[in-house]
Formats: sequence, structure tokens, C-alpha cells
Amino acid sequence: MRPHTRIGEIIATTSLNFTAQRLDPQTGDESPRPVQPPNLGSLVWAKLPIAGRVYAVVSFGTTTGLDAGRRAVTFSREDVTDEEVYREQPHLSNVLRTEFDALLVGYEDATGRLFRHLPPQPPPLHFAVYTCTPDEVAQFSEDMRYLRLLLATSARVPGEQLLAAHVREVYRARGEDDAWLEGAARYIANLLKRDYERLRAALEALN
Amino acid sequence: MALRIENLTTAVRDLARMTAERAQSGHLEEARVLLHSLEADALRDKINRVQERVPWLVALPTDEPPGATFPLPPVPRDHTVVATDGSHMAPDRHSPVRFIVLNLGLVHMRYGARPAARLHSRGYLWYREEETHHAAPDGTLYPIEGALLGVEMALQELEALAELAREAEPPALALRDGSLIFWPIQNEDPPLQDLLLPRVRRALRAFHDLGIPVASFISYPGARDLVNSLRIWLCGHCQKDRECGQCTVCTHEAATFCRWLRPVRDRTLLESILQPGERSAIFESTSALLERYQDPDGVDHRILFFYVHTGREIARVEAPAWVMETPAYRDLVHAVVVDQCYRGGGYPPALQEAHEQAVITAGDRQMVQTLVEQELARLGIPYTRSMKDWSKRLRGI
Repeated sequence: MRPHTRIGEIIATTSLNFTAQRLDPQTGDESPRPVQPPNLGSLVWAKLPIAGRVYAVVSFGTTTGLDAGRRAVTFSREDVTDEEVYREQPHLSNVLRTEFDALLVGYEDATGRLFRHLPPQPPPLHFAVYTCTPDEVAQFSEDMRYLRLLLATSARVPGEQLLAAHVREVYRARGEDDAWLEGAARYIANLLKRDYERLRAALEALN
Repeated sequence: MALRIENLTTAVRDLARMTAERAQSGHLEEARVLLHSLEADALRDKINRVQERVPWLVALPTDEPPGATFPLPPVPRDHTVVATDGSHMAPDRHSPVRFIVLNLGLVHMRYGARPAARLHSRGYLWYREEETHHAAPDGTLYPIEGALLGVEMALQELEALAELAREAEPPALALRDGSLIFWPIQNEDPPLQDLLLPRVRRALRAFHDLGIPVASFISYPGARDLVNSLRIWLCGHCQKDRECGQCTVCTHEAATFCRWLRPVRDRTLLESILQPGERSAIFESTSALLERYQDPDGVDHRILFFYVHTGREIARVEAPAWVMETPAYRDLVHAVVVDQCYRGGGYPPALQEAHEQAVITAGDRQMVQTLVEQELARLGIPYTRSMKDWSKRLRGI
């Protein structure tokens, strides 16, 4: 089993979702490079006080200046573009901040039992956010009923896009589990049966 | 109502017209031709003969011809830049407690094969008498405020910069924003000068012993040292053995040109002389204060300067004599300063980030005030501000 990777720290939290700041994944002599949010739709988790954890789906990502009053300016030149800009301006990673939002979709209580609805409490501010291992993703996605939450909440990306992104992430984590994908598509079709346009958008985005 | 703009429009129009007329006079071209024609030795001799009689700062030529330009040396692919900047909250006269807050921004940037950056800040709150005053050996206390606070800040920045330089992997440049000539010191009492100048020398000496050149960068410099040197060259009084300081009634043939030159800044003179990346000749500043920048054991910290075309403007770069007179150091300063301006789109990123780290925002200031008020209240001391301050805050009608 892959170890958990700590990818962020919660800087805003509510009963529906949380915002986390991405931690700089650079270590040692690695070259400075852009810090990116986790994949849209990927499953992450955070600890609850005392015991248990919440599960959440990454629903938005953004990179801005660390100081709200500082606007980004252009640094690229004819011969310096993309990653090279970060090598030429090694301080950038110190003054930029990458944040991501995640929608709460379930939790695990102290006994280890999984629930796929909103947790009783939001995760605490400043707690760490971890990526889920493929096993955890597989286990959580066994029961698909939480997918409904991705449509119902006010994420900043269209709900059907988020839903499709999450399904793609899970499909990959489950080792391209076609049976699961078929089940998910059927579940989404049922969810959106009264909204043909959104259903079409969701199904088209599954590929 | 505050300022009534409509009353100023005529003056604004006149100001613009006068500026345009000055620019069209042709004197600037005349000044450039004059600068090119000057020889270092002759100009130095003339300045040395006349200087004591004029109250201006002048640029004393070194061995380099005053009008010469020098191409941009190659910048080492791998190099380090360390920089510091500071910000403060001055003692508040309207407050019942006296304290100073100082925040230093420290930046360490490595460029090349293993690029990296470390940015941080270090804050202090000084309130003890020995922290908020300088004490002369005779017991006189000098409150650190006004110009003296500026000097203390600059010294703290320089001392912190020397500390940073200790960890800098050569080739490295230690860079500071502003001047390395701490002018206000010369107006202080001799005992205070005796306290401050050794600190300047000690800090500069640290860079020398580390083998890391230190320099300061002045964007859009207001100095007229070089223009003043031209005016001294034009001045005829010394030859007539008359006292100077009579510029307003001067009848010498060059007087019109000289008077035109008076408000011109060095950066204007050099704008069309220097090409992007090039530097001017190195000059020596003629402040008496700098005589005391020399270490007793011979390291010469007197501040020399050159102007450089950063690609976006003419900037002034100052450094101690031991930097400017060592070709490897001098070229590193020149190359790295221009490289920094290139990277930063006109201003060194190391200095910009040091500033960003140092800044004390209005919110931070308010927070410190509130903290102090709360702590005092907790101990039963009411926080009473002056009535004048109270009135300004209330702005009652």
C-alpha cells in the first residue's frame, strides 16, 4: 500500500466543504517548479479530532499571490518560458499560494465504519489533507450514493463536470474497473434523468 | 473641503511648459560633449582646488575617464544574491508608552543549476532605555528617532545582511536598497558619531573578510554629484582667486550654462550616454563623513559609485572602495545588478522581496497598538492618548 501523502492544510472549513492551501511538495535539491492543486475530482481525506476522518472530493483549484494585494506580473521572455520561469525566479514558490476546495462526501467514525453522507462536523481548521490510496478510493466508491452530493452542492465548477471528473479519477484508481464505470454511468443517468442537457454533459465528460 | 485643484491648474501648465523649454535648450547635449572631453586627472585637480569653497557634493573621478562607458561583464551562471530591507514603527509622541518596532526582511536567492530562495522576516520591539536610546560614554542619551532612527534601521539592515552573507555560496553579492553613505551621521554630535561609525566599519569589514562584495542600489537616483563636477569644471572663480558661493551674481562666460545645469540630475545627463547594461566610470563621493569609513588597519570602506543602465532606467550603485577597486568584485556587482533588473523587469527581485518581507502594513501597526493597549489595560494602566491625536481620530463635527 502506498503511504498517504500530505498535500495541504485546511485554511477554511464549513459543514459542506473546506479550502486547503497546497503545501510545497519540493524537497532538497529539486528545482523550483509550479505548485499545482490536486486533480479535480480526486478523493482526499482529513482527520477528525480524536478519531475518524472525513472524505472529500477536490472541487476547485487556484494559484494566486500569497499577498492578496500583489498581482502576478509576467516573467517569461523569448528564451525563458514555462518551468524555466520558475528556475529563473526561484522566489516565486515563496510568494505564490495554491489553494483547493473540496466537497465533503462522507466520513469514517471511530469504529472505522464508512458513511457516504455529510459528516456531523466539519474537519478542523489547520488539519492536514491527505491523498487517498487506490485501496481507500476503491473502498469508498463501492457504494455510489455519495455521487449525489457532488451535484447538489454549490461547487465553483459545473456539477456534472465535477461528477464526471470524479468518476474518471475513481475509474483510474480502481485499475480501470469497467464494471464500476458502467454502474456509475447508470447511477448518473438515474440522477439526471430529468435534465437531459446536464446528463449529456456528464456522460460526454466521462471519456 | 481640502485641496482645491482648480486653483493649481495654471501653475501645472506653467510647470509643464518650463520643463519642455529646458529640455529643448540644447544644453544637455553640450553637457554630454563636455563630459566626454574631460580627463580624470585634470578634473580631479580642479575639484580639489575648488571643492572646499562650494557647498555641493561632487563626483571625484577615479582612474577611469569621467565620460567613459563600460560594457556589461558576463554574469556567472551560478551565483547567490542576499538582500535585506527594513521597516519600522517610530515611537509615537501621542502615546503614553515609548517603543519602536523594527521588522527586517531577509532574502537569500541562489541562481543557476540549483536555484533556490529563502525569504523571511525578523521583528523586534524595543522599549528599554538602552534599546530606544544611544548612550554616549559621558552618559548623554540620544533618543533613537527621526533621522537617527533611519540610521539605526540602515545599520540593522547592514548588520543582518552581513549575517546572511555568511551563508551565501560564492560568487555572491550582498545587496541593499538605498545608499551606503549614512549621511545623517555627519550631523550628529561627535560622541554619537564615535558610536555609530565603528558599527558601519565593522559591518562593511565583515563582507570584506568573507570575500563577498556588498553594494547598494538606488533606483531613479536624485543625485547631482557628476553634474556638480561639470559645474566646477566650468567655474571660473578659482582662477580669479575669488571666493566662491557667488553663483547668483556670477558673470563668467559659462554662467548661463552653469545655471542651467544646476537642477539637472546625473541620471538625466547619462540617459543617452549609457546603453542598456553599460555602466559609467566609477566616481568617489566627496563627503567628509567617508574619510571616517576607512578601517584603522587599512581596509578602505570609502563609498564609490557608478551609474548603470539597467535596461529600464539609469540607477546608481554604491560600494566600498575595496569592492570597486577589485576588478572581479566590481564586475560581479555590475553584472549581477543588471541581471537582477533583467529578471525583475526593471528592479532587483531580491530587493523587492526583501521589501515585501519587511513591510509593516497598516493592519499590523493597528494590531501592535491594540496588543500594547490590551496588555497595559490588563495590568490596570489606562491607555490615554494625547487630546490632539484623539481629535484627529474622532474628526467630530
